[in-house]
Amino acid sequence: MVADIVTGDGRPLVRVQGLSKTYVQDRLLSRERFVVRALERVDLVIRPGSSFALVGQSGSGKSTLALCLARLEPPTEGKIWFEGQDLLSLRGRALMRARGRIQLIFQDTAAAMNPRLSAKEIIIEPMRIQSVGTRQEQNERAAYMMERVGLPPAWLNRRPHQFSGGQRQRLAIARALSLQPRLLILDEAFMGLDLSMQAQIVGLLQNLQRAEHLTYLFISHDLSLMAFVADEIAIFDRGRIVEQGLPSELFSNPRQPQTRALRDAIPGRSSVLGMGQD
Amino acid sequence: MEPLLEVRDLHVDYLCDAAPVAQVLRGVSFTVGRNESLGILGESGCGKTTLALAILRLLPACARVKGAISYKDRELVGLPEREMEKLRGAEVSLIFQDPGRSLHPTLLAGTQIAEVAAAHHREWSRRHCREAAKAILKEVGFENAERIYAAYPHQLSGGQQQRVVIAQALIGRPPLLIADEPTSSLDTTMQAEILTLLNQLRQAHKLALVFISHNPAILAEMADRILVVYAGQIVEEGAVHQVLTSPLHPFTRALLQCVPREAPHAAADRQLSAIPGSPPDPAETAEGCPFALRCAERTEICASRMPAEVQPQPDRKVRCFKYGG
Repeated sequence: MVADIVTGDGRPLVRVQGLSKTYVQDRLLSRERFVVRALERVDLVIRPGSSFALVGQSGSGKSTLALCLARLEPPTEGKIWFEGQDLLSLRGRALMRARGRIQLIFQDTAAAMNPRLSAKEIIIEPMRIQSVGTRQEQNERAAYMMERVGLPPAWLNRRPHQFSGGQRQRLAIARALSLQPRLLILDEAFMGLDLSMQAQIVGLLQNLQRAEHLTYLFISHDLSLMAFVADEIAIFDRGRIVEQGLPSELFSNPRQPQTRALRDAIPGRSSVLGMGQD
Repeated sequence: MEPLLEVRDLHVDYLCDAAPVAQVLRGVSFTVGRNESLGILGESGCGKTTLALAILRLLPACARVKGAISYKDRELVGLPEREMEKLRGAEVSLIFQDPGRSLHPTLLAGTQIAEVAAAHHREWSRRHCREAAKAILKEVGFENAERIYAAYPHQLSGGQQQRVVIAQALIGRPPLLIADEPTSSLDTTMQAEILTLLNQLRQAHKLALVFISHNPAILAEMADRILVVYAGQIVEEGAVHQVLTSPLHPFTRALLQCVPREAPHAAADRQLSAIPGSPPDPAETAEGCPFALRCAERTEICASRMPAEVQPQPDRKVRCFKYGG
């Protein structure tokens, strides 16, 4: 395992150690405090160029981990190293640079885009915020990114609502990759897409990963899909990683009840299709 | 025995505002038997939801419907709206993808079920409606029906919300339930629970089910028979095991290959064979088979005209030139 992790440039891209996040809610008209432990001492290592998947039920804390990694939510405890840097200690310009190298894609792409901006403006917005390139370079990059994700560059002036769900997911990928990040976090990015669109987006992500040496962190409830796209899977339950391993291992020999439950919930397993049976 | 529902040559066009006329359903015919579960399989935008809405006449005003829909031998197209209203929920119910949007955010879950009971049974007292709501909450799998009754939708998980919506849909005891992607907004675990529940309710209430989905793996668990819809037409029809294990139409075959089935051992095997391109725009009418452009098995004839529906085996239909269409 350890030997495996230190391949590539010799360092993991992401190392998370003892990460905890607790939300405290004050209840209205009550002295009781409501404590939610969204993350409890999570450790994980993601190799550069690999695909890592966090799989668990809704509400298990997966998305909180994504938000902590993107420095959008401060963890209560723990450490995160990204490209060898202590991510949580970064401030100012250094933090901004790191944020450009970690990009997020969400489930609801329509909600994640300003409906009044054109596709071009959406793609170059991150570059503008980070002051990357001249106006001309930004425009060129937008056209290039459209092509990379399989959208006609002629659509650069269209607004998000003129794209279908699958096309909007491509646009979200184009925006996320406009700054040439190293880590792409995809939080339930396939939800709401039908199977044929999902298969197309999976293919696109695989091609981009090979070409750009991207690292993916997938967050999903769908073990069958994640087994297909990930090199390594961590099963998440109530803020903890309960089991971790290669997809084929988790499928054929799940050791924890949570893993078995996620596997057994895959539709079609016990039917004529005999899906997901090893 | 006569079918419960029979749809014949149904066409739905949308003539909305300045947009070009969209032909969303282009001559769809099928039947649903009593206690039968019919799966409708297709991609987003193929007309699945329009079909569900057309049966209950819930389409927007700009939709133009042609064809016949008969339910228990009564013609629904042209039936007065008052009669349609009596039919909805009492004879045919419909549940949707996003249960959060089907529920009123500021009314208690139970109130929203009791309300439906009151609409179906004018003679029932409020108390009677309340008791009926609690009883049906138990039927849809809530042990603590009292607590769910008194909860607001936002206090419930997506799976619990969908159970509440199912309770609403079934309190009028309809013989037919149409479920339009009822688990697409749920995670896999909750999806499995809802699918199991629907199968149990089907048995217990002798329900007929029309289950609409883009996922063959879900229909494998839910359907007796499957219709595959592409660009507003039925392109394949047959028993569930036939369609899913020996598909005839190239589209059905391609869609089945999009299902991630097992964990590949080597990274090189991680290829999902996607269907290239996207479904045709319903506002554009092209000559020939609408799937031709995306089809791996197309030949010259495919672009020339629309293939006819043929019956290559008893109880199976397909619309493709490969079978002489």
